[in-house]
Amino acid sequence: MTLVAETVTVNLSGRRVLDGVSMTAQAGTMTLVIGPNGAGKSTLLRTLAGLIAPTRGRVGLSGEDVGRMQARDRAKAIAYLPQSRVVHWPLSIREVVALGRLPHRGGPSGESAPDARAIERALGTLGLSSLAGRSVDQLSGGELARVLLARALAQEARVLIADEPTASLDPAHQVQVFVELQRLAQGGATVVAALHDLSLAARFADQVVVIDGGTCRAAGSPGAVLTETLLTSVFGTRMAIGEVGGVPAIVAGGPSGATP
Amino acid sequence: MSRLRRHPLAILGTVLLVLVGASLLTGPLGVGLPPGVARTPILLEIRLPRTLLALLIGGGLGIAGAALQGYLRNALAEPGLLGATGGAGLGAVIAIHTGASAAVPLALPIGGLAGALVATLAVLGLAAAGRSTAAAAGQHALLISGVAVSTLATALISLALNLSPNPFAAVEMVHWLMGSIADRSLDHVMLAGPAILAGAAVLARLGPDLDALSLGEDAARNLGTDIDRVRWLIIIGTALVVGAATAVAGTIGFVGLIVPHLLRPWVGARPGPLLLASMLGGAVLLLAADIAIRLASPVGELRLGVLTALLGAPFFLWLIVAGPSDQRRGPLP
Repeated sequence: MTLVAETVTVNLSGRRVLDGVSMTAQAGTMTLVIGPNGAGKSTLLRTLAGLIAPTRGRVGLSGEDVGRMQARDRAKAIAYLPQSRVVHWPLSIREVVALGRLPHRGGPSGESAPDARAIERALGTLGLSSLAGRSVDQLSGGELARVLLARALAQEARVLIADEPTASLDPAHQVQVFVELQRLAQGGATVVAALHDLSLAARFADQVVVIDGGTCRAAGSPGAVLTETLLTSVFGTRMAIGEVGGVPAIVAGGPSGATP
Repeated sequence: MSRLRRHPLAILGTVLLVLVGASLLTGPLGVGLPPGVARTPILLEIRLPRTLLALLIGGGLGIAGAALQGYLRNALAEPGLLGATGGAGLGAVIAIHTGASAAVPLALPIGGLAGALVATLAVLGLAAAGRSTAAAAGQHALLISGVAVSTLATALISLALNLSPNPFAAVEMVHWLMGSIADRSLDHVMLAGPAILAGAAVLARLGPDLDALSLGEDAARNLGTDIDRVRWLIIIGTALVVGAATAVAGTIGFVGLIVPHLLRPWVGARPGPLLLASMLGGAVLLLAADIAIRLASPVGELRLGVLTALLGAPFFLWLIVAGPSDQRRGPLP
């Protein structure tokens, strides 16, 4: 499924947060959204997920207006992982992941066999199977992040939108999560994620979208977009781009940390 | 223990059936069937209405408390928070103040229902006017509106007491506000029953939406929950239950707050399954309390609302200080 934002403008509480942003996320690819704090990345992701109605413009999913979809149909098509990592009650890990199956159930009826399989798959993918009975209030921040991502995976939607899925994860788990997201994309899903780690963006993105001040500064392959000139201008500090062990590395601050 | 964990609804249902039997067999003169010719009228006109009201009101307050705690994601929420309790109390006090309750049968509970309706409409209006686009604004506007309307109702109840036409009227108001289901008739059951059942039915269907809200509003909306619809149904459902309950029985506190608390360690913290369990648990608690009152004070002067508050408050403190760890954690928004 192709997810398209067409000149999307969003005003929140009278403030213009997004200003005419256009982008396309193709099925089978991973689109990574980068940009400074407060640039409008989360608003873009929430708008793509149909949680915010654009003030102007529209979001289309394979031609259908996301804003006009039935809530349940949209829930089956688009899984969204919010930036805030909160579970308000001490549920078990499995209970949280099972919430991802709500759009597939008819009312308060129990769990079907496909539901149970999807939950087990999501738990297994993120290495949580052995913890399934644990209460989420006994988890570290990184474990909770993986549990919430597993919830989104259990939704088995063709589109996955994740807002900073790797924030507060240790380096090994950051890579693990992006390897899984890449596998999902290679399986035909449309994956869109926001993140701050530019090295991971360079390594895993099929397309990088740069958001700055509510507008789209650039979109394209990592090689084309992630240049020192553009990054330095967007982040307001000198950025160095190199390679370590065959993996791209992007470092902020330059050798002296001085701004240009 | 593991088998007990698996069937909370069956166990609560069984306990409830036993208590219904006990309630029908318990009177101020002790345990057993009433003697001789008075048997049928005592059973049908005194004990049956009392038993049915305990079931309806306890069950209603239980499910309303569980639903509101689930919606607000706050274990300290109490169904009276949305203004219906205060409104119903005010309506009933006005019925006494104006002398309507003495002149017209059932004017008191009807006044209570009218008060609950007015208070709920005020909360709905204020909450709708106070909404903005921020994610949690709807919830905050609702809470603030409920607290404002409740406070105003309490102030007006004090005013009615202050200006009461004679000491007897004031005493009647105070006694009524304390909460009781003694000396009620089947007319009271017919008046409150349909509203409480309708409200409970509205709330019982919100399980999946409340489950989804465990992850916050954005995640819940992504899972297909219509937050605005849930908010209206919560307001309407709790108002029907709490308004009707308060209209016939006065203020019965702590049941809606404490029952979901008590059941969470047993049934689990997921808000959906807690709804029906809290309905059964609320009925069990109120029926047991009412039977205890009949046995402990045969003259019938200890008020049910006084007992629930008297037992509820220290118990609640104990839960927080010494109870299971997930109760202490107090999931606040």
